[in-house]
Amino acid sequence: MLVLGQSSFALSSDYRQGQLNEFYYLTTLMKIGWDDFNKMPIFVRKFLLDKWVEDNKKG
Amino acid sequence: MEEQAREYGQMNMTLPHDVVPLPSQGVFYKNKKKSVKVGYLTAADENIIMAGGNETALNLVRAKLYEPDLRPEEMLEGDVESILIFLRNTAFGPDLNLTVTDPTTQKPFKVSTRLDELPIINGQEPNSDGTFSVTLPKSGMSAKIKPLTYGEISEISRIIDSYPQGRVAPRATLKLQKQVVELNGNQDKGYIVTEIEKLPIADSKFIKKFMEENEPRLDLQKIITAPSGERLTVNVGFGAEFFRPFF
Repeated sequence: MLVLGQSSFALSSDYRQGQLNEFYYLTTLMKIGWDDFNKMPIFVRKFLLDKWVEDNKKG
Repeated sequence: MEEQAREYGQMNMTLPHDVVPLPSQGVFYKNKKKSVKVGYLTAADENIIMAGGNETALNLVRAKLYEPDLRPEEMLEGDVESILIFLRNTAFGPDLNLTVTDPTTQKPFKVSTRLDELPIINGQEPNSDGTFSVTLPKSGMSAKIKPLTYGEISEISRIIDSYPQGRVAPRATLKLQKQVVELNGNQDKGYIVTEIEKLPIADSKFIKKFMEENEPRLDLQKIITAPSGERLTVNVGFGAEFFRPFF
Protein backbone atom coordinates (compact mmCIF):
# COMPACT_ATOMS: atom_id res chain seq x y z
CA MET A 1 0.00 0.00 0.00
CA LEU A 2 1.08 3.55 -0.59
CA VAL A 3 1.80 5.66 2.43
CA LEU A 4 1.37 9.23 1.32
CA GLY A 5 2.55 10.60 4.64
CA GLN A 6 6.02 9.37 3.88
CA SER A 7 6.20 10.53 0.31
CA SER A 8 8.35 13.43 -0.71
CA PHE A 9 8.44 15.05 -4.09
CA ALA A 10 9.40 18.35 -5.64
CA LEU A 11 9.57 19.93 -9.06
CA SER A 12 13.05 20.70 -10.32
CA SER A 13 14.67 24.10 -10.86
CA ASP A 14 14.30 23.39 -14.61
CA TYR A 15 10.58 23.42 -14.04
CA ARG A 16 10.80 26.88 -12.44
CA GLN A 17 12.63 28.09 -15.55
CA GLY A 18 9.92 26.62 -17.76
CA GLN A 19 7.22 28.25 -15.64
CA LEU A 20 8.89 31.66 -15.94
CA ASN A 21 9.29 31.21 -19.70
CA GLU A 22 5.54 30.50 -19.94
CA PHE A 23 4.80 33.66 -17.96
CA TYR A 24 7.08 35.64 -20.25
CA TYR A 25 5.20 34.49 -23.36
CA LEU A 26 1.76 34.98 -21.80
CA THR A 27 2.57 38.47 -20.61
CA THR A 28 4.30 39.48 -23.84
CA LEU A 29 1.79 37.97 -26.25
CA MET A 30 -1.46 38.21 -24.30
CA LYS A 31 -0.78 40.90 -21.68
CA ILE A 32 -1.54 38.51 -18.82
CA GLY A 33 -0.34 39.90 -15.48
CA TRP A 34 1.48 38.04 -12.69
CA ASP A 35 -1.60 37.79 -10.42
CA ASP A 36 -3.75 36.32 -13.18
CA PHE A 37 -0.94 33.97 -14.17
CA ASN A 38 -0.72 32.68 -10.59
CA LYS A 39 -4.47 32.06 -10.35
CA MET A 40 -4.87 30.56 -13.82
CA PRO A 41 -5.42 26.77 -13.93
CA ILE A 42 -2.36 25.09 -15.47
CA PHE A 43 -4.45 23.45 -18.19
CA VAL A 44 -5.72 26.89 -19.29
CA ARG A 45 -2.16 28.20 -19.39
CA LYS A 46 -1.03 25.26 -21.51
CA PHE A 47 -4.07 25.64 -23.76
CA LEU A 48 -3.41 29.34 -24.40
CA LEU A 49 0.21 28.74 -25.29
CA ASP A 50 -0.54 25.70 -27.47
CA LYS A 51 -3.33 27.63 -29.22
CA TRP A 52 -1.04 30.57 -29.92
CA VAL A 53 1.62 28.26 -31.38
CA GLU A 54 -1.03 26.45 -33.46
CA ASP A 55 -2.52 29.69 -34.84
CA ASN A 56 0.89 31.07 -35.70
CA LYS A 57 1.97 27.89 -37.45
CA LYS A 58 -1.03 28.27 -39.78
CA GLY A 59 -0.08 31.86 -40.63
CA MET B 1 2.70 26.67 5.78
CA GLU B 2 -0.07 24.31 6.94
CA GLU B 3 -2.36 27.13 8.17
CA GLN B 4 -1.56 29.24 5.13
CA ALA B 5 -2.41 26.42 2.77
CA ARG B 6 -5.72 25.70 4.50
CA GLU B 7 -6.74 29.37 4.53
CA TYR B 8 -5.79 29.68 0.90
CA GLY B 9 -7.89 26.66 0.04
CA GLN B 10 -10.98 27.77 1.93
CA MET B 11 -10.91 31.42 0.93
CA ASN B 12 -10.85 30.60 -2.76
CA MET B 13 -14.00 28.57 -3.23
CA THR B 14 -15.08 30.88 -6.05
CA LEU B 15 -11.99 29.99 -8.10
CA PRO B 16 -12.33 27.46 -10.93
CA HIS B 17 -12.90 24.02 -9.49
CA ASP B 18 -14.43 20.67 -10.26
CA VAL B 19 -16.22 18.01 -8.26
CA VAL B 20 -14.18 14.91 -7.48
CA PRO B 21 -16.07 11.72 -6.54
CA LEU B 22 -14.59 10.00 -3.50
CA PRO B 23 -13.86 6.24 -3.61
CA SER B 24 -15.19 6.06 -0.03
CA GLN B 25 -18.53 7.62 -1.10
CA GLY B 26 -18.18 9.74 2.05
CA VAL B 27 -19.61 7.03 4.32
CA PHE B 28 -16.70 7.39 6.76
CA TYR B 29 -17.16 11.15 7.23
CA LYS B 30 -19.53 13.18 9.38
CA ASN B 31 -20.77 15.22 6.43
CA LYS B 32 -21.28 12.04 4.31
CA LYS B 33 -20.30 13.94 1.15
CA LYS B 34 -19.85 11.57 -1.77
CA SER B 35 -17.79 14.11 -3.70
CA VAL B 36 -15.73 17.18 -2.91
CA LYS B 37 -14.95 20.47 -4.62
CA VAL B 38 -11.30 20.64 -5.65
CA GLY B 39 -9.60 23.59 -7.33
CA TYR B 40 -7.39 23.17 -10.37
CA LEU B 41 -3.63 23.41 -9.94
CA THR B 42 -2.25 26.85 -10.67
CA ALA B 43 1.21 28.44 -10.82
CA ALA B 44 0.82 29.29 -7.11
CA ASP B 45 0.43 25.54 -6.36
CA GLU B 46 3.44 24.72 -8.50
CA ASN B 47 5.39 26.75 -5.95
CA ILE B 48 4.16 24.39 -3.19
CA ILE B 49 5.36 21.43 -5.26
CA MET B 50 8.66 23.12 -6.03
CA ALA B 51 9.26 23.74 -2.33
CA GLY B 52 9.10 19.95 -1.82
CA GLY B 53 9.32 18.32 1.62
CA ASN B 54 7.64 15.43 3.39
CA GLU B 55 4.22 17.04 3.54
CA THR B 56 3.97 18.27 -0.05
CA ALA B 57 0.99 16.06 -0.85
CA LEU B 58 -0.85 17.17 2.28
CA ASN B 59 -0.11 20.87 1.71
CA LEU B 60 -1.30 20.57 -1.86
CA VAL B 61 -4.59 18.91 -0.90
CA ARG B 62 -5.09 21.46 1.91
CA ALA B 63 -4.70 24.27 -0.60
CA LYS B 64 -7.01 22.78 -3.23
CA LEU B 65 -9.78 21.17 -1.17
CA TYR B 66 -12.64 23.69 -1.18
CA GLU B 67 -14.66 22.03 1.57
CA PRO B 68 -14.72 24.01 4.84
CA ASP B 69 -16.10 21.08 6.87
CA LEU B 70 -13.56 18.47 5.73
CA ARG B 71 -9.85 18.47 6.41
CA PRO B 72 -7.46 16.23 4.43
CA GLU B 73 -6.21 14.77 7.74
CA GLU B 74 -9.74 13.41 8.35
CA MET B 75 -9.93 11.77 4.94
CA LEU B 76 -9.05 8.21 3.99
CA GLU B 77 -5.79 7.69 2.12
CA GLY B 78 -7.70 6.44 -0.93
CA ASP B 79 -9.72 9.67 -1.12
CA VAL B 80 -6.57 11.81 -0.82
CA GLU B 81 -4.95 9.75 -3.60
CA SER B 82 -8.03 10.32 -5.73
CA ILE B 83 -7.72 14.11 -5.28
CA LEU B 84 -4.00 14.03 -6.12
CA ILE B 85 -4.70 12.11 -9.31
CA PHE B 86 -7.42 14.58 -10.28
CA LEU B 87 -5.01 17.48 -9.71
CA ARG B 88 -2.31 15.85 -11.79
CA ASN B 89 -4.60 14.75 -14.61
CA THR B 90 -6.24 18.15 -15.02
CA ALA B 91 -2.91 20.00 -14.93
CA PHE B 92 -0.57 17.73 -16.86
CA GLY B 93 -2.75 15.08 -18.51
CA PRO B 94 -3.21 11.43 -17.62
CA ASP B 95 0.04 10.05 -19.07
CA LEU B 96 2.53 8.94 -16.42
CA ASN B 97 6.09 7.90 -17.26
CA LEU B 98 7.65 5.35 -14.95
CA THR B 99 11.13 3.88 -14.67
CA VAL B 100 10.91 0.19 -13.82
CA THR B 101 13.55 -2.53 -13.50
CA ASP B 102 13.14 -5.55 -15.75
CA PRO B 103 13.14 -8.52 -13.33
CA THR B 104 14.84 -10.79 -15.91
CA THR B 105 17.68 -8.54 -17.06
CA GLN B 106 17.81 -6.25 -13.99
CA LYS B 107 18.04 -3.32 -16.40
CA PRO B 108 15.88 -0.22 -15.88
CA PHE B 109 13.43 0.70 -18.62
CA LYS B 110 10.93 3.49 -19.16
CA VAL B 111 7.24 2.79 -19.56
CA SER B 112 4.23 5.04 -20.00
CA THR B 113 0.86 4.39 -18.43
CA ARG B 114 -2.37 6.37 -18.13
CA LEU B 115 -4.10 7.47 -14.95
CA ASP B 116 -7.58 7.97 -16.35
CA GLU B 117 -10.42 5.53 -15.83
CA LEU B 118 -8.98 3.95 -12.70
CA PRO B 119 -11.32 1.36 -11.22
CA ILE B 120 -12.41 1.75 -7.60
CA ILE B 121 -11.70 -1.05 -5.14
CA ASN B 122 -14.78 -1.30 -2.99
CA GLY B 123 -15.33 -4.28 -0.77
CA GLN B 124 -17.77 -4.92 2.01
CA GLU B 125 -20.28 -2.20 2.91
CA PRO B 126 -19.31 -0.58 6.25
CA ASN B 127 -21.70 0.01 9.18
CA SER B 128 -23.42 3.40 9.36
CA ASP B 129 -20.67 4.65 11.73
CA GLY B 130 -17.95 3.83 9.16
CA THR B 131 -16.71 0.70 10.90
CA PHE B 132 -16.58 -2.91 9.73
CA SER B 133 -17.80 -5.70 12.02
CA VAL B 134 -15.57 -8.77 11.90
CA THR B 135 -14.88 -11.92 13.90
CA LEU B 136 -11.19 -12.58 14.40
CA PRO B 137 -10.37 -16.10 13.15
CA LYS B 138 -7.90 -17.24 15.85
CA SER B 139 -9.13 -15.66 19.09
CA GLY B 140 -12.79 -15.68 18.05
CA MET B 141 -13.21 -12.14 19.36
CA SER B 142 -15.73 -9.84 17.71
CA ALA B 143 -14.25 -6.54 16.61
CA LYS B 144 -15.20 -3.28 14.98
CA ILE B 145 -12.43 -1.92 12.81
CA LYS B 146 -12.08 1.20 10.69
CA PRO B 147 -9.76 2.35 7.91
CA LEU B 148 -7.05 4.81 8.94
CA THR B 149 -7.34 8.46 8.04
CA TYR B 150 -4.53 10.31 6.32
CA GLY B 151 -3.86 12.16 9.60
CA GLU B 152 -3.58 8.89 11.54
CA ILE B 153 -1.17 7.47 8.96
CA SER B 154 0.97 10.60 9.23
CA GLU B 155 0.89 10.39 13.04
CA ILE B 156 2.05 6.75 12.96
CA SER B 157 4.84 7.71 10.53
CA ARG B 158 5.98 10.48 12.88
CA ILE B 159 6.04 8.09 15.88
CA ILE B 160 8.03 5.54 13.87
CA ASP B 161 10.47 8.22 12.70
CA SER B 162 11.03 9.30 16.31
CA TYR B 163 12.21 5.81 17.33
CA PRO B 164 15.96 5.68 18.08
CA GLN B 165 18.11 3.99 15.45
CA GLY B 166 18.41 0.27 16.03
CA ARG B 167 15.08 -0.06 17.81
CA VAL B 168 12.32 -1.69 15.81
CA ALA B 169 9.18 0.45 15.84
CA PRO B 170 5.95 -1.56 16.40
CA ARG B 171 4.35 -0.39 13.15
CA ALA B 172 1.71 -3.13 13.05
CA THR B 173 0.70 -2.59 16.69
CA LEU B 174 0.44 1.17 16.25
CA LYS B 175 -1.79 0.66 13.21
CA LEU B 176 -4.00 -1.85 14.99
CA GLN B 177 -4.43 0.50 17.95
CA LYS B 178 -5.95 3.06 15.56
CA GLN B 179 -7.87 0.57 13.42
CA VAL B 180 -9.63 -1.35 16.19
CA VAL B 181 -12.39 0.72 17.80
CA GLU B 182 -14.22 -2.06 19.63
CA LEU B 183 -13.33 -5.53 20.91
CA ASN B 184 -15.94 -7.92 22.28
CA GLY B 185 -18.35 -4.99 22.60
CA ASN B 186 -15.84 -2.99 24.68
CA GLN B 187 -14.78 0.42 23.35
CA ASP B 188 -12.40 1.29 26.23
CA LYS B 189 -9.10 2.36 24.66
CA GLY B 190 -7.03 0.91 27.53
CA TYR B 191 -8.72 -2.49 27.15
CA ILE B 192 -8.24 -2.45 23.37
CA VAL B 193 -4.53 -1.54 23.66
CA THR B 194 -3.95 -4.35 26.19
CA GLU B 195 -5.78 -6.92 24.05
CA ILE B 196 -3.92 -5.86 20.89
CA GLU B 197 -0.60 -6.54 22.66
CA LYS B 198 -1.78 -10.15 23.15
CA LEU B 199 -3.43 -10.52 19.74
CA PRO B 200 -2.43 -13.70 17.85
CA ILE B 201 -0.45 -12.99 14.65
CA ALA B 202 -3.16 -14.72 12.59
CA ASP B 203 -5.72 -12.16 13.82
CA SER B 204 -3.39 -9.26 13.15
CA LYS B 205 -2.79 -10.54 9.61
CA PHE B 206 -6.54 -11.04 9.14
CA ILE B 207 -7.22 -7.36 9.95
CA LYS B 208 -4.42 -6.23 7.61
CA LYS B 209 -5.76 -8.36 4.75
CA PHE B 210 -9.36 -7.35 5.44
CA MET B 211 -8.45 -3.69 5.20
CA GLU B 212 -6.47 -4.19 1.99
CA GLU B 213 -9.50 -5.86 0.44
CA ASN B 214 -12.22 -3.58 1.79
CA GLU B 215 -10.77 -0.10 2.25
CA PRO B 216 -12.18 1.98 -0.59
CA ARG B 217 -9.53 3.38 -2.93
CA LEU B 218 -8.61 3.63 -6.57
CA ASP B 219 -6.92 0.59 -8.03
CA LEU B 220 -3.46 2.00 -8.75
CA GLN B 221 -1.92 -1.27 -9.86
CA LYS B 222 -0.90 -1.40 -13.51
CA ILE B 223 0.20 -4.46 -15.45
CA ILE B 224 3.07 -3.73 -17.81
CA THR B 225 5.27 -5.82 -20.10
CA ALA B 226 9.04 -5.56 -19.62
CA PRO B 227 11.45 -5.60 -22.64
CA SER B 228 12.26 -9.24 -21.76
CA GLY B 229 8.58 -10.07 -22.27
CA GLU B 230 7.87 -10.64 -18.59
CA ARG B 231 4.61 -9.16 -17.34
CA LEU B 232 4.78 -7.37 -14.05
CA THR B 233 2.49 -5.41 -11.78
CA VAL B 234 3.57 -1.95 -10.69
CA ASN B 235 2.00 0.34 -8.12
CA VAL B 236 1.59 3.95 -9.16
CA GLY B 237 3.48 5.89 -6.50
CA PHE B 238 3.26 9.51 -5.41
CA GLY B 239 6.98 10.14 -5.46
CA ALA B 240 9.17 12.45 -7.52
CA GLU B 241 7.86 11.33 -10.92
CA PHE B 242 4.20 11.89 -10.06
CA PHE B 243 4.28 15.68 -10.30
CA ARG B 244 7.23 15.89 -12.65
CA PRO B 245 5.65 15.19 -16.00
CA PHE B 246 7.89 17.20 -18.28
CA PHE B 247 11.35 17.37 -16.72
